Amino acid sequence: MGQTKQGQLGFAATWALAAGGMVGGGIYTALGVVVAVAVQWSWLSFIIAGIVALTSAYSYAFLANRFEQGGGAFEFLREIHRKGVAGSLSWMLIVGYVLTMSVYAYAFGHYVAFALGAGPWVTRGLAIAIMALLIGLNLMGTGKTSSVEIVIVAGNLIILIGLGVLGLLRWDPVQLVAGVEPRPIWGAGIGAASIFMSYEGFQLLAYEYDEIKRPKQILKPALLSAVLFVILVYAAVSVGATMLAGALTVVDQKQVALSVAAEVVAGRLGVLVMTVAAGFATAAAINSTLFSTAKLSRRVADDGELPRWFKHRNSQDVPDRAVIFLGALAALLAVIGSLSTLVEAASLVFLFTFGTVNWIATQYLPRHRWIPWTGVAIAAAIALVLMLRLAILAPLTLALLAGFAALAMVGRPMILKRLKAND
Amino acid sequence: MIRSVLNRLRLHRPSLRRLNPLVRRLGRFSWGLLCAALLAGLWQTAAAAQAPAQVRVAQLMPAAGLTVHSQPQAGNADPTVLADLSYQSLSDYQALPAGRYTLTVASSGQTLLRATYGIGASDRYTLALFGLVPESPQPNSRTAMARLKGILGGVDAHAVNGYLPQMTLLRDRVSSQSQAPQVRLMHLAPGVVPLAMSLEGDSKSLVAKTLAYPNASEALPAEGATRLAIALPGQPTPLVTQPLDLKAQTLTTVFVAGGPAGSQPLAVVLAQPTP
Repeated sequence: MGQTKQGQLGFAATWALAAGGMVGGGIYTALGVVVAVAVQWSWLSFIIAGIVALTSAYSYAFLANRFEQGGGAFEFLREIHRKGVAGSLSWMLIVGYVLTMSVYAYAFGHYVAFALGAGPWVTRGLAIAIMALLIGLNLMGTGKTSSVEIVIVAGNLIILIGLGVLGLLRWDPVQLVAGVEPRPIWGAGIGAASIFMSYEGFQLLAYEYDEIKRPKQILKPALLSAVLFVILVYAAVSVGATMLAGALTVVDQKQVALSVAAEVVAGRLGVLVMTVAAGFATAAAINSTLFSTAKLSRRVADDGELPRWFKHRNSQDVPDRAVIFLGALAALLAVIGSLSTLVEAASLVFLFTFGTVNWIATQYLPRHRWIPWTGVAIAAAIALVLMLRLAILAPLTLALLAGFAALAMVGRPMILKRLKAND
Repeated sequence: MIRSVLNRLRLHRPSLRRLNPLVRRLGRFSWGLLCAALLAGLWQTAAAAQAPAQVRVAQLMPAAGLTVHSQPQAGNADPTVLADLSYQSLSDYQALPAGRYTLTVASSGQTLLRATYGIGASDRYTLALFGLVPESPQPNSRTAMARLKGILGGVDAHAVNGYLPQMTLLRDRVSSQSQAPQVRLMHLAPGVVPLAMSLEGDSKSLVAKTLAYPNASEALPAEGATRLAIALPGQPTPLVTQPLDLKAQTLTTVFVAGGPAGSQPLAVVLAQPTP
């Protein structure tokens, strides 16, 4: 536990990066997925998932300040001497980030192709192109450019809030169930499980702890207020956009749901605005996730929990192999995966991660332990629902995730031992 | 907070300094675009009118005849007949004011299906009825797996449901920035194996999809498609072919109907857009 060096990020920048990490890709892809499950209760799904995010933000901030350490769940587990669990979780977390990037690349391809009126091959090509571009930029050492991200976040939030407000001005509750059967209120819980991924972005800030100015004063209020704000934005956008486009349209065109809603508002201009917003938001989200994931991979490899191969750096001091490998994997998944499957698989990984971080916080918080316990309880409940949903609707995805989890927990020590012996 | 954001924008790294004018220009352009869109949106919002929806019914359930009643949930209005159809037929669009409706499907006076749907203003829908009518039908008969899929999957869940009767509402307009006509394919032939469906033009396949009962494709771009060919997967010779006459910027739904083990031959019902 050393003294952290003085960082550059003030409250506003920290807040913007946390909010941007979430809004960056989440709502653009999650809306259609959640409306399909929760229909008129989608806003409540965002609130339920948001409560887990809020308790997790509280736990992340507390643990990061306690250990004075960037690096998120992996570092927290190491600090409490659970090195093996940290290694397993880091493998799962890296898979979660790859899935997240694939969702963002998928969204980028679909939003841009929709605006161009292009077909599925162009969509796939765009998803690959954006990943290739951002892999290239990362290899050149551009890294995370906070100022650019802040501009994108500001524009993004304004556009999303604008869409939500315009939808709410057209208040028409029938649109929330247009073309579909209304769902009972418990559908909101299933919806929350499906789209939890849309809140994961704030914890990328945990990797930037050293960059934050006075983190002990700034981190907690910035994270909590950012998550709270994003919950409200998501709830407003889910109601507003669905009131504009209608529930069945949002489900049928879930890949570009917000562009379709924007088209109702302002025709081609609306599509153009939403495409610009989605394009920049998803690209920024891919960039920051790729940067942080490569950094995490190198850190985990330094700790001997990933093969040494991941430690390799290029002349720009960038973990080049990690960037290329993880980025290429995300591009592949974006091309072959379906939206719901990618979103739900990523959601499950992050529910597990956030549940773990909340659990660690329950062990160390001197007071208000009910906060992380609430997170643990809701995360466990909705993770179970999500596993059941995947078992019924996408058993292959669940089997692949379970197989990888088994590999991370049981097979990882053997693999690493063998690799070390070969070295 | 704003000051702090602006301070952050005073970039330190040389590479970022080079980016700054670009970011500023991009910011100005985005603001202009956003303001224009918001103004257009406010104008559209003020001008939005609540036109009634248009609903039609596609009867793809091998049965003598089906009657569909609609009853609005608001008020005390009596049920009205939405359609009275024989197998493989498609009704005309009926106007329904926006609202929640209970739709009831009956065969020879016995209720097969009953569900509530929201009908959005100004929209166009096709209600597709499919499955096999059992000898002694119960309203909304569902297998355990179909129930589970319905609970966990919501709108997106498509269950075989033991080939029991089902209904689904389809939206007849799909937003697209493309001028090309679009086609949505739907396999609604109970007991029939997955089918390879191909949209062809100039004797070559343009788009191909393999669908299992009771699944639908997304809206497929069908520029230049003049024929639909349906075959068993991997088989070159089509079981059924259907000429297509598609119009730009419209969505045509192709229903493949039929019965198990040749009890009903495969047939294509085209739900084409009407003016």
